Amino acid sequence: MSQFLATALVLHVVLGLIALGAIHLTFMQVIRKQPPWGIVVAAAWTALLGFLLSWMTGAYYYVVHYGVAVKPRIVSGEFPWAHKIFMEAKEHVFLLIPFLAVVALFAVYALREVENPALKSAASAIIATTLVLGVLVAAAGVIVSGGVR
Amino acid sequence: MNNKTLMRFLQAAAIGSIVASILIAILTIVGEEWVPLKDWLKNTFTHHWLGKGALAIVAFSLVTLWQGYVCSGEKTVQAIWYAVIAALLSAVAMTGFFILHTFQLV
Repeated sequence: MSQFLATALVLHVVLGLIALGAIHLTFMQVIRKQPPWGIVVAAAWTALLGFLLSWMTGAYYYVVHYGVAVKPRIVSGEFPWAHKIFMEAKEHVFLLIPFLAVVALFAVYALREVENPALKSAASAIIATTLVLGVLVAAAGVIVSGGVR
Repeated sequence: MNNKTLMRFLQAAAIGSIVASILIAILTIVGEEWVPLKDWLKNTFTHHWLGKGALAIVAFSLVTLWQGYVCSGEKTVQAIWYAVIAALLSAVAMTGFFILHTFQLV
């Protein structure tokens, strides 16, 4: 694997973890009675940008290297399900996350301007959904990495 | 951006997200079962996964912009809840499909 590909893989993981931390922070602050809106908006933006950049760097690694060099090793190894179930689910569920993060960002801006308990519940739900799917995608990544051995 | 415009675009983005969630699930599951679709995605976008992502971005952007100008913003809360349900169902459908596919049940 080239230095560039290795960097793309590391950035994919690190940016994804930053985005997860940021969306978790967004959720924990939004459910407070009086959220600190400056922090919430910054966290929601960080989450969106983190997910998008993690998406791009992961896409480069996945398209250029994973399918050619890693997938065959997993599928012919002891744990083929690591690719067939976890990688397949991970790569496709990941496609949903940036769109949810955009809605979460809009929701944060709306909540900052409009005090509405129903909107707050719905916004918290979409932020929590982004967080939960993101955590599952990250966990699947750990399983896929283990499946290479 | 005033509050009404903000609510309209929030509702629009939620609807765009619903469309993207459904489209990704359909392209993924149908693409695995009907080879010409996956081949078309590969040939057009160099990789099927890039094709699904690109089409989802286009669908999300067009629907969000269109709905941003035509929706009232009065059903924002419902739209967000439907976006949550659509994303969860899409994730469950795709994961469930790959589990069944691995065990050759579909």
